[in-house]
Amino acid sequence: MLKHLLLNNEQKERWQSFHQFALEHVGPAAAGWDRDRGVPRAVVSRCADAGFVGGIIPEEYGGGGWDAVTFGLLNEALGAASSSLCALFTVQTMVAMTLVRWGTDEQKKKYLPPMAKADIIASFAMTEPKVGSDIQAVETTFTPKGDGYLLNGTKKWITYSAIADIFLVFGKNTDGKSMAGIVKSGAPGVTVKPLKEMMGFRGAHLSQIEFDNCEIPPADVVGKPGLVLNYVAPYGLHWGRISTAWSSAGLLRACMETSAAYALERRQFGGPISEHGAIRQLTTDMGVDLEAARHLCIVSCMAEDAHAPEAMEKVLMAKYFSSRAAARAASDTIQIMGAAGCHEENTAARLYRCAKIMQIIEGTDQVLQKVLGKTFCKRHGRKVKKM
Amino acid sequence: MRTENSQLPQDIIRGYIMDNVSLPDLDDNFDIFDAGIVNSLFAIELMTFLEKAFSIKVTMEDLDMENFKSVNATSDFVLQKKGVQSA
Repeated sequence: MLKHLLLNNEQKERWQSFHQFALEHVGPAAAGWDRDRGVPRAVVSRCADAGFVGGIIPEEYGGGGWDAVTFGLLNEALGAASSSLCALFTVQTMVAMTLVRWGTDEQKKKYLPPMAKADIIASFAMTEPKVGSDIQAVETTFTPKGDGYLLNGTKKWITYSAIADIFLVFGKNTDGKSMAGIVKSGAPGVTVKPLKEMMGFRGAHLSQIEFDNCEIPPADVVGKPGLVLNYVAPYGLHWGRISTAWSSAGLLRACMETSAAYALERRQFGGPISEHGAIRQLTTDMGVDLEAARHLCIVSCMAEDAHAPEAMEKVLMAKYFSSRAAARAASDTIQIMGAAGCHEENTAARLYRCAKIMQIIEGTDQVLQKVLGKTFCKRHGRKVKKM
Repeated sequence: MRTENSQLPQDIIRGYIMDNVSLPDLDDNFDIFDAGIVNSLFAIELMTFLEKAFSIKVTMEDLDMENFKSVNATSDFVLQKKGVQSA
């Protein structure tokens, strides 16, 4: 019903094609990617051939020129089948849209067309062993050398970095000013160490990246020193949250479908467990959460497409709600399925493992509470006259 | 410069800031960033608001907190930007 109310015909048709792709090419293979600890590069290429990897990149740079809603629908459809694959769209888009907004003309022309075709896979290298949510505390250093810089430091938990061709790396220069630069994965001084044993997102090629006097030419410096962590990085994270919010909504839908199918089939005490009040409570909460998550996702992306100032806040809300709702739904799916849901051969177990990751990436629940809670108190508290 | 509804940029900018932060009133020279009453989320929202309200494009070269620190500074930036873009 929701899609009939809020989506235009082009968006509906694309969503249908995303679902078809997920049904044919993602769902049947997703457990294998999880087990083998990696989405194959050939699958990435197949997504690129379908126009998915560069869908959000402007047409002038070889992309599809999609709106944010359509990009979200892609993440919902494929995220329901594989969080690991969907994470590719998350990180590729974080880097691509950062360059679209803040890159130089030369950087856009050099990097965006191959990124649109997935000839270049890009990772957003922010998190460090000691630095997560507090991005202002990054310890990676950009030391001036000639016209460029020497990069030193370690990034960790970087999605798709094990197979990425370039990294957008964040750090500070010797004056303490925030900086960002593009580094090729095979450049001298770069060491990539894959992190294979993740709880969820097992196919998403996470790794630790070490930079040892790695050279960054001036042409690959992104943004103005000192303003990178306030303006450049938040823009990339904003697009990461759009992707994660929708991917969480997709995972939530997968939980709903898995739970409902099982509850209708499974019989206890003389009837299907879907008839039991306690199970109905779980499926009711799941269904309402799914509808609410979709509303928040669509409205936040409509705000983004309208270039509305409040888009960033609405995306924060969508990511916050969807990821938490997905985690609740995944837990309840296991509860409904009992022992069957606890076995690795069951999709529910993978949904459960990946759902927890959603509450951590692109802003933990607690960081989003810090921002949104303060905003809401300021906005609404002053409307009440003091007694 | 006046907009279609005859509001000065200062009025529009002041109205937007006051709608979004807890201030009973706002002096046009008050430094909202130095005072710590806005966060980085609002900095980006303000930038997006300016782009939409005044049909301008904020570039990397424009990113200087001096341009956005107060109502008057922001208004001056908008006027300068409109002058540059319409030239």
